[in-house]
Amino acid sequence: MIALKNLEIKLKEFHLKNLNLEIKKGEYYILLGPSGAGKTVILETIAGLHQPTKGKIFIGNKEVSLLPPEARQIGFVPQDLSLFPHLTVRDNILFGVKIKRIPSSEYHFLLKELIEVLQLGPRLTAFPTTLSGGEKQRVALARALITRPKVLLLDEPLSALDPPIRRQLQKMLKEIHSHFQVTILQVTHDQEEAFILGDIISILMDGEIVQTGKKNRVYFFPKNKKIALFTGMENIFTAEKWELNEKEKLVILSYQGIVFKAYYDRALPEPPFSFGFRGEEVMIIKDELPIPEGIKEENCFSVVLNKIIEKGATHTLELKETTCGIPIVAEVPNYIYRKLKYQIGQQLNVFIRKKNICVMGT
Amino acid sequence: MKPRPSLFLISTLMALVILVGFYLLLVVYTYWHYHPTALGELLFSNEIIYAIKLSVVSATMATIIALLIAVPASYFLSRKNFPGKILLDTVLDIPVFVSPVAVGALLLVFFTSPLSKTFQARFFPIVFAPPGIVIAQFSIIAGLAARMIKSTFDQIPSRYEEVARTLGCSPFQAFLRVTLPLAKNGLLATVVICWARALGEFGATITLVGAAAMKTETIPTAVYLSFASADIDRALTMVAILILTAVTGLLIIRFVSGKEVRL
Repeated sequence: MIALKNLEIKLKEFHLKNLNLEIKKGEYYILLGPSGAGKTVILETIAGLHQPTKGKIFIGNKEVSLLPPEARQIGFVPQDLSLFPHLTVRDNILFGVKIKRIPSSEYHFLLKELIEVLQLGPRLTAFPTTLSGGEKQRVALARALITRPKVLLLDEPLSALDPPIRRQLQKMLKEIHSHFQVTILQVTHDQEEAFILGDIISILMDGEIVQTGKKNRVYFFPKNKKIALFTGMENIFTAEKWELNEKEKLVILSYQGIVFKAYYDRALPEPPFSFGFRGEEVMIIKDELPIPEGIKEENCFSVVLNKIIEKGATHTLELKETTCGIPIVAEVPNYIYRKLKYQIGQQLNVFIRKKNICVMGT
Repeated sequence: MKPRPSLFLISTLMALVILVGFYLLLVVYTYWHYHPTALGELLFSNEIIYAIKLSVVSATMATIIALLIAVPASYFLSRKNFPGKILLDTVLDIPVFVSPVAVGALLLVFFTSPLSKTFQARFFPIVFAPPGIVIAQFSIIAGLAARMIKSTFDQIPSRYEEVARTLGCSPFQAFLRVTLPLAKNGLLATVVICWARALGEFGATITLVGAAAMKTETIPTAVYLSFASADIDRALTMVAILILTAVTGLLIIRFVSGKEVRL
C-alpha cells in the first residue's frame, strides 16, 4: 500500500538514510522516535512537501516520489493542524472535496458519518479560533478523511492535548481506523501512545529506521540497548560473560557475578550482549512467603526495597540485589502494592521469567 | 474601586493627544484665518474638476497596477529564499528613501532616451502627458506596496498552503483560496495607504509631466502652482479639496471593504 524504498532525505540539519517501510492496506503504522529525529520530515516527504535525494516512494502501486502533493491522494494532519482560520468548521471539512469538485452525492454520506463519529455536529458553523484543542483535532481529521485518502498521515496528533482529551481522542482514532478502514501512518515520540494505537511500530533513531515489528515485539524485545532505553525498559545490563545452551535455547548471561537465564526464540544479535527486562515483568514475593514450585527454575533473586515512587496507576519499587547490590526496578500495580504493604528496607524475593528477558545488541 | 492609570499609560495618551492635536491644529488654525470662500466657485470650475478627476483616476490606476505587480512579487519574496534576496529587497526600498523629485528626475531621463521615445511614438506619450502621471505615482507606491504586502504574507504561515496542497490544491489555487483571503486586511491597508500616497504625489509627477492646466495638472500640482503665483486663497482652497477628496476616497475604500480597515 505504502512503501519507502531506500529513501534518503537531506533537509537542513536532517540527513535521513536507508529508509525502508512497507505499510499494508488498513494497517495502523507508527513511526516512533525521539524529538528531532526527523519523523516529521519523513511524513512531509511522503506528503510531497519535500523531495527525497534518493530512493522511491510508492502509494498504492504507483511511484509518487516526484509527484506534487495534490496528486498523491493522501490525507495530512500536521502537528499544528493548520485549520483555515477564515473558514467555518463545515467549510474547513469540505475544502478538499470542493477543490476536487467531487459532487455532494458522493461525499454526503461520508460527511454525515464523519460528523457523527467525530462528534462535530454542534460546531459546524463555528470558526477554528473558537474551538477547543480536541475539537480542532477532530476537524483536522474530518478534513483529511473526507477526500477518502489512500493513507492518512498524522504528525504527533495528540501531543498538545491534556491527558483526558488525549485518551478520548486515542479511542476516537482507533474507532476511525476500524470504522473507515483507513491506512494510517502516524509519527510520535510518545511510546505509550505508539503502543496504544499502533499495529506495527518502526523506531527511527540517528537518521535511520533501527527496528520494525509488531508492537509487542518492539516493546518487549528491543534490538539494542539504545532502543531499550528509548522505549523505557527500566532494567538493562551489559553481560560480562555469556554462554549458549543450544539444546534448551538458553543464553546464560552474567553481570557482576549474578547469573541470568534468557530464552531466545530468534537469531541472537552479534555479541557482546546486553540484556534487559521491563519493570512490570519483575514479580515480587514477600520474603516470609514460600517460593511457589515452578518458579524456582526462573531467575530468582533476593532483594532489599530501597525506594518507592508513586506514579498514579502504578508504584515503582527500586530494589537492590542482596549479594552484589545490582539495582532492579519493578513496576507494581496499585492493588498489589496496597495488598502487600511494602516498606523501605524490607527483604523480598523477585523472579523474572526466562522468556521475559530480552537479549540485545550492546 | 478602579485602579489609577499608570504614569506610563497617561504619557502614551498625551503623545496621542499631541499627535492628533498637531494635525487638527494645522487644519483648524489655517481655515480659521483663511476662509476657503472660493471653495464652491472653484469646485465647479472646469479646471479643478479636471484636476480632481485626473488625480483620482491616476491614483486609482497606479494603485491597481502597483497591486497587480506587487502581490505576486512580494509573495515570491516572502516565500522563497535565494541568493541576492536582501539586495532585491533593498531595491524595493529605493522609492521609499529616495526623494520623489529624484525618482521623477530618473523617470524623466529614462523616458527621454531614444528607446523610450520610440516606444512613446508607437504607443502613447508619457513625458508631459497624463499616462506619465500614472507612471510617476506607480514608481513611488509600487515599492511601498510590495513592502507592505510582503510583511502581510510573512505573517501567514506557508503551512496553510502546504495543507491545502495535500487536500488537492495546485500552488495557485492554494494561494487564491487560502493565502489571499487571509491577507485581506493587509491588502486593504495597502490599498488605502498606496491610493492616498498616490493621490498626494507631487515631486515625481511634476518632474516627469509638468503642470499644464487641463492636461497634467493634478490637485497637488495645483496647490503648488497657486502658492508659486502667491494666490494663497486659491492654494488653501485646493488643499481643502485635496483633504476632502482623500477622506472621501478612504471612506469609500473602507465602505467597499465592508469593515474597518486596520492599518
